[in-house]
Amino acid sequence: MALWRAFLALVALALIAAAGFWVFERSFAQGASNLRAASNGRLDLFASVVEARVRRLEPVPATIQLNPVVVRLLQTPSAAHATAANDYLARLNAHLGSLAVFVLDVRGVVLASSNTSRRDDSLRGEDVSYRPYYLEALAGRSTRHFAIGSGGHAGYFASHPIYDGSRVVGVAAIKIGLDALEQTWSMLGAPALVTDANQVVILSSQPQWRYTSLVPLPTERRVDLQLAQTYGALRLPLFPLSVELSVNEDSQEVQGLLRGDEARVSAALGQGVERADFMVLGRSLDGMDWRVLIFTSLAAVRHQALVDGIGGSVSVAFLLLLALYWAQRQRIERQKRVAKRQLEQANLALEQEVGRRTQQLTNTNTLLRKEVAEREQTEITLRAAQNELVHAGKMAVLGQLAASITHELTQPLGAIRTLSGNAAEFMRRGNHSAAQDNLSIVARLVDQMARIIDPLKSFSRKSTARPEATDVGRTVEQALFLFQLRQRHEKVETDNRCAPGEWIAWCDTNRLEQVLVNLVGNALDAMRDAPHKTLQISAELRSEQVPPVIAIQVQDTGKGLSETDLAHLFEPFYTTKASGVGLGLGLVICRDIAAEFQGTLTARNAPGAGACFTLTVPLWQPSLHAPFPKTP
Amino acid sequence: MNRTLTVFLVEDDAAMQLGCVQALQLADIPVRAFDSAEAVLPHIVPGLAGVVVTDMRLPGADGLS
Repeated sequence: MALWRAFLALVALALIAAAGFWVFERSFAQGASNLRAASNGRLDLFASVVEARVRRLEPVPATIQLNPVVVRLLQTPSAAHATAANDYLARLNAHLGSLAVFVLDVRGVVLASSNTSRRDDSLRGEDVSYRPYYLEALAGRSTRHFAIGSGGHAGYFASHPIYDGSRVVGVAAIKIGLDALEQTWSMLGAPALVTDANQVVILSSQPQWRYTSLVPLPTERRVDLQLAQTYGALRLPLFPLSVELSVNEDSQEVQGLLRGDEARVSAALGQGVERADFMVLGRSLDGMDWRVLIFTSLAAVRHQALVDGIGGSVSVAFLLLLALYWAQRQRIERQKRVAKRQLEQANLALEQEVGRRTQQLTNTNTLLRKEVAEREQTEITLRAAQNELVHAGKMAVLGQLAASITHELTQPLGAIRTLSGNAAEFMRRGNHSAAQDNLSIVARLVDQMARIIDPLKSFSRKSTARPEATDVGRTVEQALFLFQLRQRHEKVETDNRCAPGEWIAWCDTNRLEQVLVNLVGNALDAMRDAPHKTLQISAELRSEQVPPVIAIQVQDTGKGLSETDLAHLFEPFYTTKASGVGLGLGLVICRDIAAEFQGTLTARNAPGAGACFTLTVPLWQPSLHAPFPKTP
Repeated sequence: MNRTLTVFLVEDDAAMQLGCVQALQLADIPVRAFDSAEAVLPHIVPGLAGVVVTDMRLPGADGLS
C-alpha cells in the first residue's frame, strides 16, 4: 500500500513537472512567435525608412546626364562649364537633401560637384578612380555601394554612366547620408545593425559593433577592399558574436543563431545576458544587398513562459489535489456509510439484547412478586400462629389461676345466696329494713366479684399486638393482682418497687402484662418450697442504650437456675417444673413477645439466691411515639 | 326437746358470717358467731349443748384443729 502510494505520488509529481514543462515550452514558443511577428513588423518599418531615405535617391545619377550643362562640361571641360555644372549640382543636391552630387570624368577625377569645400570623394579635383562605383559605371553599369569617403565621412554612393551617344564620357554619382538611419534605432527597440554587401557592419545601435565583419574576410577580398578604400584604413575586426544566418530568399527574411561562448555574448550584449535569450531576426533590404539585423531579447518571453509554466504546474497540482480531495471525500463517504451500517447493526443487536434482558427481568420480577406474595402469606400465617400461641400461653396461665380464682369467687357467691335468701324471708316477715341492708351487702359483694373477674377478662382478651404508651408500674400492679390470693396463701412477701406513672414504656400493654404474669407465676412456682419467699420487682431506665429502654427485673428467692437451665431456658418444651404442670412454652412465648416490641428477656442468678429475669422494653419517647392517652 | 341448742358459727368472711347468722336467727336457732377457731375454742367445753359449724379453710388454725 505504501509502495503504491509512493508510486502515485511520483506519478503526480511527474505529471506536475511535465505540465509545467509543456506549458513553458508552449508559452515560450508562442511568446517567441509573437515577438518575431512584432520584430518583423518593425523590420518592415525600418526597411521602408531605408527605402524612403536612401533608395529613393538612387535613380538620381541617371538623370544628371539629361542636363546639357553636364554633358557640355564633359565634352569641353572649361571653367565656365564647370561653374554652370557646379551650380546645377549644388542646386540639385540642396533640392534632394543628399550629401553630395558630383560628376567624374572618364579618368575618375571629380569634374563638377555640389561640394566645394569639404574633403571628400565629391571634392572637385579628387581622384576616385579606385572606387567601385566609378569603375562599374565606367564599364557601363549603374552601381551603388557603401563606402567611407576619402574625408572619412561614410555614405552610400550611387553612380550612373554618362553617355555621349554610345560612348561613356563620364560618371554621375551621388553620396547619400546615413545619418537619418541612425535616428531609427529607437524604432527597432533592440540592439540592431546594418551590414553592407560585404557583410560588414556599417551602422549599428551599438557603436562598438560598427565596422566589424560578420564573417571572416578572405585575404583577396581584404586586398580588394583595401584597394577600393571602401572602409578607409579601418582593419575590420570580426563581429564579437558568431551569428549564423539563414536567409529566406522569397520574403527577404533573415533568421540568425547566436554562436560562441557566453562570455563574449555577455560582453557584447550586456552583463548577465544569456545567448539563448536572444533571437536574431533580419531583413534583406530590397536591391541593396544590405541586411538589417536585430537582436531581440527573449528574457521577458522566457520570464512570462516561466510564470506560465509555474501556473500550469500549479493548475495541474490543483486539479490533482481536487481529484485527491474528491477521492478522499468518496472514501470518507464510503467509510461513513459502512460505519452507519455497522452502527445500525449494533443498535439492532443492542435493542434485541435489551428486549431479551427486559423479558428476563420481567420474568424475574414476576417470580419475585410471587415469592414476595408467598412470603407475605407465610408471614401472615406465622403471625396468626404466633398470636394463637401467645393466646394459648395466656390461656395456660389462666388455667393455672383458675383454682384460686374459683375459691375467690365461691365465698362471695355463697354469701350472696344466703343473704338474698334471708332478704326474701325478711321481706315476707315485713322486716324491710333488714332486707334492704342485705341487698346493699349483696351489691357490695357483686362489685367485689367484678373486681376479681375484670382483670381476668382484660388479661384473657385475644388481641393483636399494638404498641402504645404503657405505664409500667400500673401493668405490674395488674399482674400482681392476679396472684393476690396465691401470694397471700403461700405467704410470699412482695417487694414492688415500681411506682405507677414513673416509667412509661412503648409496647403492647396486654402483652407486657402477659409476660409479667408469666414471670411472676414462675417466680412463685420457684419459691414454692423456699423457706423465705420474697418477690422483688423493680424497674430502671437504661439510657445508655439506643433507643433507651426500661429494664424490669423480677427476682425471686428460690433455689435459682442450674447451668443446664440457663442454657436451655428459652428453648421450647424445656421445663423445670414437674410433669403436667407446664408445657415449657411460657418463656419461649415471652421472649417472642419481648422481641416483637424490640425488647429482650434474659435470665441470670441473683447475687444472693434465686433467679432474676430481666425484661427490657423501649422507653416511650413523646417525640417519636403516639401520645400517652389522657384517660388510660 | 326443751333443751335449747346454741350454734357456734366460725366464719372469717364477714358477709358469709352475717348471712348464716341471719338464716339461723330466722329459724329461731340461737347462734354465736366467731371470726376464728382460736376465738371459739374457750367456749367449747365438754357437755356443751350446742353445735359447732365451722369453715374448713381458715387463716390461722383451721376448722379441724
